Amino acid sequence: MCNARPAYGSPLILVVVAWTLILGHPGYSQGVMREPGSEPSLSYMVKEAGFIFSGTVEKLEFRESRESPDAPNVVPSTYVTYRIEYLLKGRSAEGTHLTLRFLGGQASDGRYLEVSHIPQFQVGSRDLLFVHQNTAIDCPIVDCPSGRFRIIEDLVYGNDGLPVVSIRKGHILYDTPGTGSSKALRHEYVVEEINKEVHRLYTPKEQEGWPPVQSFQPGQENPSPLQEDQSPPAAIPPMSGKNQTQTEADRVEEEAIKQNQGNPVLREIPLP
Amino acid sequence: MKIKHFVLLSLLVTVCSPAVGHSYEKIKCAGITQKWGSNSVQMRASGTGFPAGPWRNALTESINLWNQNPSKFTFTLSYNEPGVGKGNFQNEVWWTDNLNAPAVAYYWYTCLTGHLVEADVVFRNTTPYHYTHNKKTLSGYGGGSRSFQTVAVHELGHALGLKHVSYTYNAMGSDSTHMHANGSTAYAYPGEDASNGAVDLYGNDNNTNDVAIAHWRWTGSSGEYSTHARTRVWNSAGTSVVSSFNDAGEPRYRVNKGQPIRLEMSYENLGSGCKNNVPVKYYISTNDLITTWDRHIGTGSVSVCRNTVYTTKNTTLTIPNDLTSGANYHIGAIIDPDNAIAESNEANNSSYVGIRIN
Repeated sequence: MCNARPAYGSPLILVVVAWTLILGHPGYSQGVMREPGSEPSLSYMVKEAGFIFSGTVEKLEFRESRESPDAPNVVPSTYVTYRIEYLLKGRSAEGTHLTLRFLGGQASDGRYLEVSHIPQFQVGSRDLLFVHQNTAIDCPIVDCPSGRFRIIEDLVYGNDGLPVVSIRKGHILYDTPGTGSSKALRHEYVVEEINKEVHRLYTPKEQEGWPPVQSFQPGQENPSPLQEDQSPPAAIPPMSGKNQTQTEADRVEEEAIKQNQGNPVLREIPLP
Repeated sequence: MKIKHFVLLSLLVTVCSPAVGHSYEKIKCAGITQKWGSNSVQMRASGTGFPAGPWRNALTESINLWNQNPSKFTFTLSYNEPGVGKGNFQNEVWWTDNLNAPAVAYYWYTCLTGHLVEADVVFRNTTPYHYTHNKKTLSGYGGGSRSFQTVAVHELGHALGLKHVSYTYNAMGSDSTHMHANGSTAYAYPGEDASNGAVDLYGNDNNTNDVAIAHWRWTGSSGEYSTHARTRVWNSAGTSVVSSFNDAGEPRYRVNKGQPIRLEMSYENLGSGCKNNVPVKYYISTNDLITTWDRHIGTGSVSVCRNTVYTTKNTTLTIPNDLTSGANYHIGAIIDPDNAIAESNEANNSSYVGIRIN
């Protein structure tokens, strides 16, 4: 392990130039619907989320984790502050604003950290978010990044820019790019559908009892758990590959392909 | 297995891959692609997490799967790394229970100069992973375990410079249903689109031949991830899927003796250049292991370039009349059935779809 840390240019310039340009087009306004069943259920997402809202990103800040003897390498996080426009589930302790912390962002030496499943944000963008455990985890949205929807010109897109074209049989359906004519759903319609689901799942009394969601405060982050170098899972025996109805001919064929390094082109046909 | 006679009961089929574009997504910052400055990148496996044994072997296998891709890029892998962590300028692999995903890739880049400078891959050890190739153990085939190798291939794809893909059958989408299976075994692989992305990033080695068949296909997306399902048996007009049932975690289609059907399969080119008019032979087998010893029922050909996986149902076959009612069989396909192409991997040239005779 080494801890040398070369610099990679002015962090300030990179913040201004790069982070605001990361992520691009909302993409694909034309397409056909995909097969249902593979998309997340709206009911599941509503249940998993402690807080659901749509709003606009007002502020982005990069902060680094605190160094500690157990965590010598600092890791940047992005603090994303939203102005809440539509509140669909839960309460915010700060009322009109909520700050979420996502692992990744710019480090003080100019490098950027990106985490494979964590989305990126830009000031001014509008999102619909299903928030989950804001202060506890590295990506506080449901099934990260599935619980983040982008709102562009009042139309709703998935985190990857694919239009949300239907909420059907309780599933959120996305578009297939470039192959049809479906358009993204309007934000108001999606909000209405989520509202209906919230009211279907929870009584007014239950809704009153929800604890307010806290913003993530600077300094609240734990030191980066860098040394969590653990053992692999305990090995469990694989299921038997033996087929009870396997014939002698099957066994001969299986052995032949094994001998042939998996190549299915077997040269010799055994005599019966 | 061998069935006595080679009776050709179907017509010849020629299918060609449409010239469609790629789907892979590269890591970008401010519009600038982020990639390694070198074509060889060292990964270091934690000594705690990957001691000598099956998990180390599975990680090594996953690294080697990427190293078979047609780009100039290679991973090297060292073992027994004593201290691992994010942000230390070394590319490391370890296990933890502190993740809210089965695995994560952490990658660092410079942005404006376009360089990846560190990539770590971390697996959650509370996920029911398994290193086995026994397909019945794996979730894609009705088992309860997640294939370690499919997840490792996916995360190593990030480490190489690729992002998630939702638009096509892809290892950078839902990895557990991106496998090659023949018989009782299933193997992970990077797949055509991700290999294409690697070539785009690091150049073509112009030295890799590999064509393949899979019984998985793209169905849609779940967030950023492509979703996949098994290929199907269609009626002869190709207008509807014949009825099927779940047989111990895998689909099985009900067909009649003598029924003309269309077989859907995914054909891939995992090599350096286009392969035109590659023969494909179709077989009936009493088991799910498809080899040239099985009963030959049709011949076709495909032309596949390394762009987007070609899933087609344009293969018309006829179910033989002399099969046994109520019995299970498998329709299989073998690409390059004469071994005319010297391939880096010959073991991914066949796969199957289950049927039951009414």
